[in-house]
Amino acid sequence: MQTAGSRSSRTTAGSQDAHSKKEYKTYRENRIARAEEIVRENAEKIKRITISARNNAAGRPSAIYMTGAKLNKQQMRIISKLPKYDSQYIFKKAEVSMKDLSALTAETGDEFAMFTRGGERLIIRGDNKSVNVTIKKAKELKKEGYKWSGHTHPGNDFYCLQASGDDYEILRVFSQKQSVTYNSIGQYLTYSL
Amino acid sequence: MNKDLLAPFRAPLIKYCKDEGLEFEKIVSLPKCGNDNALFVQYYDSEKCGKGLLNNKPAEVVIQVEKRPNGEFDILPGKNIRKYLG
Repeated sequence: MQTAGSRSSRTTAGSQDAHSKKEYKTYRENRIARAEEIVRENAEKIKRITISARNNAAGRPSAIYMTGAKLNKQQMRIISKLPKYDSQYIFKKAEVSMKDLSALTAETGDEFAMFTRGGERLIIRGDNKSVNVTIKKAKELKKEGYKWSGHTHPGNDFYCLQASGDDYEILRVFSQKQSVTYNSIGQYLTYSL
Repeated sequence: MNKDLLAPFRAPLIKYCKDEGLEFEKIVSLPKCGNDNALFVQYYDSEKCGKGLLNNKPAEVVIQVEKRPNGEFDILPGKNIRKYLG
């Protein structure tokens, strides 16, 4: 059974709760007001940092795939030479890397394949499922002196990187032991016979 | 220089094969893809190949190993593991 005393103490506790809630609300409002003031005072600085972060993300496959960052200037130049399915172009070796192809896959959703001969790299653009490099075409490229550097698979996990039977067969055509597959976020698997 | 894909996973795979009555040596001769944290040992029939990079279907996974951040390994057998490693 409840006594008058206990009821009274509960009432006191209740008003204390109300008081502390009011205090907390005021404290929170003050904090928000102060935060807004800091943002206003540092607006220019914050803007500069945000732009800098976005610029640093340019060209990074994961940033392109996940946050819509842009290709870097060199990657834009590469994609301009490869406008559609089956486009191919020979670049200087230093102009394009597998990481660049990963970024292009993140941007376009298409596969790309890279073949290297001396100081040059042949890049072939595919679509979202494959690249038009048949066993016959691979034999021709091998005859021309190319090595298979790697290709990309659209996707953002390790499972999309698994090799197909034909990936291994193309390794045989080029008499190579290994090549690599990159996904859309810059991860890669090496595959080996 | 070619990378030994099997090296980081050799010890746990040898143990697994011994425990399950499988032949580790058969893993050595199968094609595989991986990196320092994951390995997929695969099987494919070369008679059924011929499309080159137009074929995007992954080869069958015989056994898969993943390294956890704590250094332990997860081993996932494929459904036909006994067919290829038995």
